[in-house]
Amino acid sequence: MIYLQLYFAFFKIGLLGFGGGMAVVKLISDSIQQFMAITPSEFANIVGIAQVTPGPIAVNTATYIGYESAGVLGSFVATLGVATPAFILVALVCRFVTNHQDNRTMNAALYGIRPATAGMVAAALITIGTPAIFNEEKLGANFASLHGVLPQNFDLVALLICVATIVLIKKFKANTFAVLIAMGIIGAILGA
Amino acid sequence: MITELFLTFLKLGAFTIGGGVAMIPILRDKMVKEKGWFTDEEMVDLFAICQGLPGVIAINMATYVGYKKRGLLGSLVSTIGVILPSFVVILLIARGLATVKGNPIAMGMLGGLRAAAVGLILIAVWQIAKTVMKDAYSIIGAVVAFGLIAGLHINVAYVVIAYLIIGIIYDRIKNGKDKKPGAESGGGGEEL
Repeated sequence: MIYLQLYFAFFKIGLLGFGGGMAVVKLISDSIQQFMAITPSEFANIVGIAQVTPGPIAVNTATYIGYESAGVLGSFVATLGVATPAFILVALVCRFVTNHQDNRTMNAALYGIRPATAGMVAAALITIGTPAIFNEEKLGANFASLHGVLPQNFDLVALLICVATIVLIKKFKANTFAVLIAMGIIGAILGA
Repeated sequence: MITELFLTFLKLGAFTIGGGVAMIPILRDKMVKEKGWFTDEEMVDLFAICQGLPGVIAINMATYVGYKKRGLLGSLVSTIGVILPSFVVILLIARGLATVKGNPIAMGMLGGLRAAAVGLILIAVWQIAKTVMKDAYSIIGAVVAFGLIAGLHINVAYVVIAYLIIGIIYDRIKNGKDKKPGAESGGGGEEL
């Protein structure tokens, strides 16, 4: 029963994958061998697509692998599997935290982990920022004249889009989704 | 509110590339400033818990917010909302109905969105640091957490567990053993 296998394989990934994103992807690569013969470079391709398309990387990868091994229903089952453990655990924890709002130990624990959040998000900035700004496939491919001017491996256009996003949102209080749509359109016009 | 939860997370899933961390500033603006559903501190706790638990951060956040506002139905609706866009997009790509690789317009659009996501993460770092870094423990703790995750590549889950324990021990040392729950002066997070 391929669907059950897929569901439980991705259930396990959702249960064991801490830290989101690439940490979960590593787990996926270890456990999909039973469903499809896939070379490391094919897998890298799938992850590459998962990284550049919207949405959580692990969900994107689950959908892709599920489809490749068992069609639309397979992708549905795999996605459901990766989401189920998080869903149950988070609901339980949320309930626990809400019910123990005045508990001293709970508050001490929350006080303890808050600084870690700042560190984690700053670390994510490096993981996600580095490939976006420093990469070979630069934005602006539709305008060949830009190419000679820009240094190798450094995507100046991406950096400018990043800065513009911050300025528009923080300084001009622009609607975030409007900014994202605008940046997507600018990127599409420039090409990559 | 159910529709609002669904639409908010649907948009988050559709426009944020690079996973849950890029969603943080949008979620915070929506939940804290626009709706007044959460305080800044509650939002940081939510991010900390969602990053420390297994699973996909975006799904964890959707489940947590949904559960907190509308119980199980709320978390189900939010989770479906955040997954749906990537599910559809990946399915189209996997079926070959949409080509991304080698298509300069699609790659450009996604590159633009990705660069904008880096800007969003920078905003997230700033927002969380501003909320969290208020005393010596939190400033040093944030810098050390960053070093552990980004520099030494230690799994986020271990860092969160360590900080959780440190928070509890710190509270016991600072406020003694015999204080009544909720009556502490400095160890809990509520007065921050």
